[in-house]
Amino acid sequence: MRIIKKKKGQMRVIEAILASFIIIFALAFVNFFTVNPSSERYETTELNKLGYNVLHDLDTQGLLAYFIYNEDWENLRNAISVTLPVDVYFNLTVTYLNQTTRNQVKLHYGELDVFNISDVVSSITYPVVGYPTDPTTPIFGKRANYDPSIVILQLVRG
Amino acid sequence: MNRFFKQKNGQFIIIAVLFISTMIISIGALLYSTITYYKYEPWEEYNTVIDGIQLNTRHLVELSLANYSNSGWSNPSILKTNLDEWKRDLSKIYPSYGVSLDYQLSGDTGIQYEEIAFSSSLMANVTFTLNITSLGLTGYEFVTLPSLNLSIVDVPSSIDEALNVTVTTSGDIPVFGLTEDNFYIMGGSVEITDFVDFYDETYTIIYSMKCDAVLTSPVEVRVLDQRGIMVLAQTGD
Repeated sequence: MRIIKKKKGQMRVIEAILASFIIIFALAFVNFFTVNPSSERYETTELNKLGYNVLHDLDTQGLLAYFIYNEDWENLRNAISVTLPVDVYFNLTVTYLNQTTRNQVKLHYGELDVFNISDVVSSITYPVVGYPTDPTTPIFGKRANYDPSIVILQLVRG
Repeated sequence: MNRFFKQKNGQFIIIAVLFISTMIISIGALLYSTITYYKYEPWEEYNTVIDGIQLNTRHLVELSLANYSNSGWSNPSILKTNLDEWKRDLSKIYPSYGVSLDYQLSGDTGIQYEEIAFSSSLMANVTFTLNITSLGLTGYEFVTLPSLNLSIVDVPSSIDEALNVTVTTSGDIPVFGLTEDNFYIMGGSVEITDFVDFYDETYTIIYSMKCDAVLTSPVEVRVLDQRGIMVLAQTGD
């Protein structure tokens, strides 16, 4: 009963409530302006990074040019498939500089319709200059001509 | 109720809380601008574009050396021809980037081929300057120095002895992973019957080959590495 009748201290309680409101408001205000990491802008950047890294790693190991100039399309498709996460679909095109397609077979993983309906499609362009290949006649040596190609890798999340 | 408003105690807490709130909002705004700037700017993409150009330029120099060595060491201007085409083609590959690649060859052709008794070496030396206007990149310099050296260490005098050679690249780094398919011994129809590699006392890798016939002087050995570059070394007369 003495506690209820006591008049001192109510102002402190009101101040504490007011202070809490102010801090909650400040945190809510800051939180409102933070950018959601799964926004479209992030997603394209992430897919771009992923695609560039895959092509660059394959090129550093000498595999990208080897597969392209030996026309080993199946292994190129498999190499990219195993390097990318399972939920990332890709569509790969290798062209000459005049934009005509070099790969005779379609190189993709996942349904191609996804690339048309998805809002977030990342497209990466990567050059390759050539690769020494075996000569047509059986002599000791290689054919090593400058024969540039452009690798276009489209990525989308499935 | 009137008493609450007239009370003078406790304002300090309100003022402190207001300060704290102001600080939270200010730091939040600062972090927001910093995070969005660094997050949205695709730095990694830029790095990979630059790395891709640099890596393929190096590949092109190696490819030119391979072309030069596989065409009988007769056309040293192939490097310059290829680099000029690559310079032009880069603007087709990256049309919106504003890529410009300049190069400076060491000597007239950028290719140095030296052949002395028991050893030979092939090297290219090119300094590149890369500018990409859309990324604000100017004056990015890199040097490519691919090379291949072959030395004959021991020449067999009988069919039971082995021909020993060393193969190194830039900085005297041994070239690993070569097999008998990478070597060719001139002189009739000489076949390699036994092939091993081992380290000598100076930790240099030695490729040792036994042949199905006695080698006649001068012995000529060719090596073709994984990049397609070929060099040949000859013993003296």
